[in-house]
Amino acid sequence: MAFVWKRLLGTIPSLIGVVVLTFFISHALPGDPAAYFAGPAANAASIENIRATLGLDRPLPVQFVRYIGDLAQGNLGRSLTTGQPVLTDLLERLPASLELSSFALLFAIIIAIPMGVWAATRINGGVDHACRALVTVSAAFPTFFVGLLFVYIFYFLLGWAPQPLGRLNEIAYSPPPHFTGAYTIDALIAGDWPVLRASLAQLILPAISLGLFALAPIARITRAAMLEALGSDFIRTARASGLPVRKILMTYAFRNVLLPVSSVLGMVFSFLLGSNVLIEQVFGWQGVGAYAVSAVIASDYAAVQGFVLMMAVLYVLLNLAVDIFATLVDPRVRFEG
Amino acid sequence: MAQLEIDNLSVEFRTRHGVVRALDSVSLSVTRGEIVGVVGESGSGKSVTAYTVMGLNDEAARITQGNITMGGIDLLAARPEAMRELRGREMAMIFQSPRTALNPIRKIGKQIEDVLQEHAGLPSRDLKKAAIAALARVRIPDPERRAEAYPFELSGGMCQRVMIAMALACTPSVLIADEPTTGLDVTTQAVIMDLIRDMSRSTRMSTLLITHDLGLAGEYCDRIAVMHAGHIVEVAPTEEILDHPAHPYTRQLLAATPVPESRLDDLNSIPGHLPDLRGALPPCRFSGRCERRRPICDEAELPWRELSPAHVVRCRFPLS
Amino acid sequence: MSVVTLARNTGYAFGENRLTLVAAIILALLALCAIFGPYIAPYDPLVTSATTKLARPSALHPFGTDALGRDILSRVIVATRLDLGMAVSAVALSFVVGLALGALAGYFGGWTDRIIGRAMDTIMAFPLFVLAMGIVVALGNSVANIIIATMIINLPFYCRFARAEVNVRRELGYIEAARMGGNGALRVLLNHIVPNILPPMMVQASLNMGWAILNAAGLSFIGLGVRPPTPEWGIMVSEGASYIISGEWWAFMFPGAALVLAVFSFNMLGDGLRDLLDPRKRV
Ligand SMILES: Nc1ncnc2c1ncn2[C@@H]1O[C@H](COP(=O)(O)OP(=O)(O)OP(=O)(O)O)[C@@H](O)[C@H]1O
Ligand code: SF4
Ligand SMILES: [Mg+2]
Repeated sequence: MAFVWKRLLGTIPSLIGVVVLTFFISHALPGDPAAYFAGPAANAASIENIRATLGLDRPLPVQFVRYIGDLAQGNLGRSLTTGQPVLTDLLERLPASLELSSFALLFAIIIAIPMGVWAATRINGGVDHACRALVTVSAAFPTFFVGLLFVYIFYFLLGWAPQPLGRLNEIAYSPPPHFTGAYTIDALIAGDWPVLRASLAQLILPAISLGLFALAPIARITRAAMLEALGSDFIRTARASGLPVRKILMTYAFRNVLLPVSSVLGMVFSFLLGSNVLIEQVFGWQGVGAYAVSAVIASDYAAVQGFVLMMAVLYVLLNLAVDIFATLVDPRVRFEG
Repeated sequence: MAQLEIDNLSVEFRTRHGVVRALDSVSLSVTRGEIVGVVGESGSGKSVTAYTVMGLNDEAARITQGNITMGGIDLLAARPEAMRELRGREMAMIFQSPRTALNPIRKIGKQIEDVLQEHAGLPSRDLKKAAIAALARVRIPDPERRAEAYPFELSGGMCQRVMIAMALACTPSVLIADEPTTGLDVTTQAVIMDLIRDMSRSTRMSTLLITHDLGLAGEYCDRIAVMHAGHIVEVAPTEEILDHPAHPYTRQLLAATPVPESRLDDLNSIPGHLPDLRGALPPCRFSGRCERRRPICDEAELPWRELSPAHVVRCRFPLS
Repeated sequence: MSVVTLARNTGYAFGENRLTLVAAIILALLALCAIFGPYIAPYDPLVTSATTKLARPSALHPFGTDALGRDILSRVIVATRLDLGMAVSAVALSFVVGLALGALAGYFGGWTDRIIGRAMDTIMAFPLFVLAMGIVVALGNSVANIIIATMIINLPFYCRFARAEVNVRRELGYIEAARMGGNGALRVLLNHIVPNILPPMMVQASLNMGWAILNAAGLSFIGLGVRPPTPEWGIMVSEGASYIISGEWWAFMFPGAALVLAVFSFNMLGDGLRDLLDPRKRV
């Protein structure tokens, strides 16, 4: 397990970087946080007042120490719009966002990996062309636009999807008892099938519109890596040893594909966490992204910065998870340390 | 009947740039316990011969005529699934660059177990022990520990031993070694070759040794077949071919191999190039490079000459 | 090579180039819109009309009208300047700044390299769109700050690329040779290194344009930077979004399609340029 510790230690510089940059953005850039915190109705005196209470009139190093101290206590400031501590707000909404992103990622992986494998075993076949078309299309479409297109097609034209008004039609259903905060999982735990169905119905469109964009890069890299693996010497050896096709494809080729795939996951996560904001906005999904957007509109400064910090930390942790996964798959990485 | 019989085999590749006639009327046999060398320049068709025997040819390959039998089984008529079952059990192959020929992320013991599991019919609890025994048989020191290693932790020579252990795990009756020592240092080469020879003697395995290295073939083979541009041009017992080469090409090969260690591809002293295998080819594919060529060489069908029952040559005017 | 294969290869190359050509034509048209937009547009993009709210596409208003009765075609055309302008300036800025930082890091190595490298790693430690949001909010909600934020999140790609190239060229002995000739660091960088790394970075820039457009449009979609009633594709999609559930599709569809068209063309052009420069990288 030594390598896990090594990876953990390796994230420390990233975390420090994240904290420093977040501090820099919120304290050292030319914008005036005091004016933001004071809100639109403030006058010069009240702004000065707030500047002093926030310590924004002190030298930057002093402010930094104070910032770190606040962070250590989980104090991200108070939201102007909700009046609650930002951390409380964020934690309350995080499960909804994680639920959406996880389903999107799950959808992407479940489709993309078989698709890439299939495309690689039948070059220039139908799936291969579909794979390439998807890559081109997903590079050109804005996520929010695809989300809206889906709403138009699947809600308005076809009537297959429910109205895109958030996580659950709360007029018809009441949310399941709180375990994880993800409605689908909570409904499953509670055994509340109607609510499970209803929340899944709400989830499908946003998850697919988000997942489509994660799908393309994963499928592309799977295809390329699978092609490389299939042409490699060790697959030739496996065939010369008379191993069954299934074993050659799954145990020999596919495991070697997982490593390149995990190396694009970082990019995919960056994309998912960013696009989450846009998709939540489109579908009225009450997660941290939608919270950040309303904070942006209300110039709710602390809320936005808290959101940025939380996403960055989440991203660092996700990358850590990917790293550890890669290490488990590939002994060479483990030995390189 | 020989254990492995290749009879009048022709193979071509349909490519975007035309049909490559890679093998033409190739005949060769290997009896039990015998080591037959196949030598020739790069591109002469050595590997295609090997892959065709194993049933591992590229999809672009077409077998246009001929027969291959192994222990009486018609390999070209066998269904793919039957061929798969023969590979690894009855016939095995080892390759050059052993480090890339092993799965980089699977323990070598596991890789041998995979083969055993498929072909040896052992209960799964005995697999591990059998894999370790296979490693021990190729004289890998400390096989229990090595079984847990990944290929990148081993040297090239050690990886080639693992390859051999894997190939021989189910005691096949035919082994094809395609340049098994290319890229290894001279001492390791000798160790690997000694190992292959010992194995083939002790299990009476028929071995086809493909190599660039005539010196190496001379040292380890019972008989040698010389290939040129998809033709076998001469076959003879080793001593005889080294002392009395009959085909002009064989002589040039020998002349280009003054010391046992030197390899053909190091020496560009054979004049001319292999002919392009795509166009129309003369009956003797060597005629473009041959000093002894006469007009008739390009005209009539080329006969096989039998200099002695074991020494045949495909040349109209062989050296005596 | 046989006649048949020759013909086939040419056909293939032509097919590839045709897409690049189409992309170039579309981009030329978009550039025209960007420059002459206000003159081409059939209506004033800001004039509202109570009588023609949310009118379907028709001969009079080919793209229909929005909730305030403004002509969508005119707004889409006029928005071109702002959308392309934001992306072009952001990419140009990150190109220049990234090149400078990367070249410095590669040239001087040591601490300079370490500090710049760390800074770039730190940027990459954020989900980039989220970082851009944070920067715009902190700097103040304006178009200029959208450009700056987009510039910053693009920076690491250029910086790393330039650094690697400078390193390669240093190992090849370019720099030593130039120094021996008695040139200062800046002169060496400018004269010997920059010209060599420009072409591949141009390809990168063109491939990056599409991404920059998406990014800027995404920021304005959530209400950053551009303020109504300014016509801009992202904000127009966002304004049109409210009418989808009642079936008025044109208000979001046309500006969205304009975005797709622009991004697609830049991607195709970038691919084409890359193939021209280095055909081997084609996948
Ligand atoms: N998949 C293929 N498609 C087309 N041509 C092929 C293919 N495989 C082999 N060939 C052709 O068949 C001929 C013989 O190739 P082969 O690999 O058997 O040579 P070799 O004697 O093994 O050479 P080397 O010493 O380099 O391994 C060559 O001309 C080669 O171009
Ligand atoms: S047949 Fe003629 S051309 Fe061919 S090798 Fe013999 S002498 Fe030379
Ligand atoms: Mg070969």
